[in-house]
Amino acid sequence: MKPDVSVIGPVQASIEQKLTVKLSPKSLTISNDSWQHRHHAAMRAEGGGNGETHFTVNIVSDEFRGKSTMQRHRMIYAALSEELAGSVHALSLYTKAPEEVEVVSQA
Amino acid sequence: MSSFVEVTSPEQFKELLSKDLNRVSIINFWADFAEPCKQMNQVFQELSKKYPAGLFLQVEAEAQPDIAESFDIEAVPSFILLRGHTLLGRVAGADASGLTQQVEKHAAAPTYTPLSRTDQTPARATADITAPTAEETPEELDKRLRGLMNQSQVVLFMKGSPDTPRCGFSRKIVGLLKDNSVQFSSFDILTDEAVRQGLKKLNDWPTYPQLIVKGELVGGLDIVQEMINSGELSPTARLIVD
Repeated sequence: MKPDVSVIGPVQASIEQKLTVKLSPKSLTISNDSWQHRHHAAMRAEGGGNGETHFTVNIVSDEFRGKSTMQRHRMIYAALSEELAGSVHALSLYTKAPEEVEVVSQA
Repeated sequence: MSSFVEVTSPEQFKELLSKDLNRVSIINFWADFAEPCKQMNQVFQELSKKYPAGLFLQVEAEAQPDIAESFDIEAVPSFILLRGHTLLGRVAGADASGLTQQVEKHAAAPTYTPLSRTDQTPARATADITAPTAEETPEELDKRLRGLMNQSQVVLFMKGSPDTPRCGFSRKIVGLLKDNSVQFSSFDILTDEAVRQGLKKLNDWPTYPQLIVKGELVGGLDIVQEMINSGELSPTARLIVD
């Protein structure tokens, strides 16, 4: 039974809170992809995981300016070290500084 | 070893059984006062000649009360079939055909004796030279990790192998590298827990896959994807491919 993705679990809430505090993002979107990974070998071994194992994070923040992608990812990993030591297996990260965000509205 | 023995003591009985725990033994509990026993003893002797693979033990129940009690013998004649200490069957009473049947079933041919035996557990398989030794110190692990990271220009630490990836991200990154003609060697972190945890610490990077170029961590799937989009991977790739 596919979970209701509009329900935010405790891990996702924690991720949101920590990134907001650490990076004061202009925009932050987190999506829970765990359902798609539930039958991978590692997840099967854990009985499918707890439903909060894989997330995609889209984040725009001033803090990323002048930093390489790797450095940006490290900042996020550092902020979420607790979650990564816990149930979170993987994070898909899209990190941008405000200037780098493509302005879609331009014709 | 003789296949017919008259048991005279519990110690002898125990010793006879333990000599070969693979051998089938047939125990005849008999008594002097019971007429049917005389006949069955004869049958018993005949069987011992016909089926020498079995160990035929004759026990006078009243003379050996301890042995009889340990098998719950309530009446004579009674016959017990054992393999070592495992009970194979019982025959109660002067049932010659029943006894013959059981003996034939269990003691017809010599039991299989393995040519060699060992009590040791099998040795751990080590397929390649980069496999760790039993006790690996942190320094040894560090050295091994650096060795693995430098084994070629581009090394991918992934879950599974390029032909059988065991994770969506690992599969994708293999696809990206192949699509961009990047030559790389790979290491399956699922086969080595020490490397799996050690590399995360060494590179200060909590996830897999990890792409290492010229001995240094470049990043995971997202970063590699970005590098391809921005054209960054090409200069690196050019360095590798030619």
